[in-house]
Amino acid sequence: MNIKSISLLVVLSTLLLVQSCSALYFELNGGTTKCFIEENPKDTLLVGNYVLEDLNPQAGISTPLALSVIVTDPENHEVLSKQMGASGRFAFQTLIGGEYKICISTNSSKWFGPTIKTRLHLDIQVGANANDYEEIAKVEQLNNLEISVKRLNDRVTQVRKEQSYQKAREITFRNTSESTNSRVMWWAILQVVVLCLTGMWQMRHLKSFFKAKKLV
Amino acid sequence: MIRQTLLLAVVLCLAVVNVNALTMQIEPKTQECFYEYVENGKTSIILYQVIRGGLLDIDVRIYDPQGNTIFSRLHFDTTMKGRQSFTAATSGAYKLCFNNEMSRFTAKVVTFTWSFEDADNSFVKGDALSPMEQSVQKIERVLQSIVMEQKRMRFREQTNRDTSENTNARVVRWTIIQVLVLVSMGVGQIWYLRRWFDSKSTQRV
Repeated sequence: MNIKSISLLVVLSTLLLVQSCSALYFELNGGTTKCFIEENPKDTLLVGNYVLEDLNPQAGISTPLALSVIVTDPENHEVLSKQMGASGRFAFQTLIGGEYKICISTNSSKWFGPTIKTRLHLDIQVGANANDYEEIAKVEQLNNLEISVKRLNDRVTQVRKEQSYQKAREITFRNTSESTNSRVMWWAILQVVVLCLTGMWQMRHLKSFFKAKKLV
Repeated sequence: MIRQTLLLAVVLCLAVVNVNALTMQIEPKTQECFYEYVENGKTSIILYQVIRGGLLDIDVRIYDPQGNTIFSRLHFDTTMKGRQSFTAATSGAYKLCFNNEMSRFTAKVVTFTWSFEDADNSFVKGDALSPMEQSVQKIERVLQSIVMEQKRMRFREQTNRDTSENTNARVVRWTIIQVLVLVSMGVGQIWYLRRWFDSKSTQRV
């Protein structure tokens, strides 16, 4: 078999693969932004793979599809801002633990056409799942068992990281609860004091008022 | 260019073997729908949870490729468990919709996972497995359930923390309002009483 037929075979088989599988997808119209929230502990790798499908391909002049991804960290700083083509991948490492917002939008309508309707196949993997183990196995020449154990190792480390993140959050939660608890008491005491003071002021004022009017 | 796209599509396919999870905010009076291609006979397991927003309620619907509703429920996260599985009768794109149209002001944050029942994620596969490989497989399965449970607990903790912070803010806000109302009532009473006496004595009270 010559190179040409091999490459044709490869192309056909990949086409078949594409046909038979598609990640979770949703409709994304031109100009709209869809945001996803990902909450992660720090030092976590987040990888997003996507394929953008044009639902109404128009013959003739067509602006190529572009996807814009903007990721903001829990303190509202921009971590990643990329413009990519019809399919691609974006990745970032979390520096602080918390909620990350991933906002995705396509380019808005072509100059004189109707709004672009697209279908976005999106797959976001976090932490240990974000590593490409097939690649690692090839590079480091590990057999099936070894790569499985390596993956287990990474996943268990992720579980531990998540647990320490949870512990820190639980501390914040407990502080908030205790603060609420003491606040309820102090503010109620303040209320009672204000009530008494208002009552006393009222009586004193009335007494002096009636004395002035010579009614008492 | 075409080759790159195909290559990326293949990478995406490989990545799909893992569980698909997304968290999204659904604005009031809108609905968000997600599609997944399911083959005939495969069982899908959909886990969903409302993390934030009002009564933690959302309308969940699943449609088959022909548009018929195979599942519809008003889900309350405080009392119900968000888990639904179905077996695909036909191959096609199944649609999962989260509907927040019954809410007028509150946005809801919903997280969901779409996985397949018999998805074998491990590297060690086959019938003749050595005891070591069997152990590894067992550990992988258990670890998967640990990760899922941890995720669920994290979302619960987030919901509880939101409630707690909300309570805290409410206590302060409403106490201040109460004090202001109290003081203004006191002053108002005195002023009103004085008015009776300040007006001409011939005028009736």
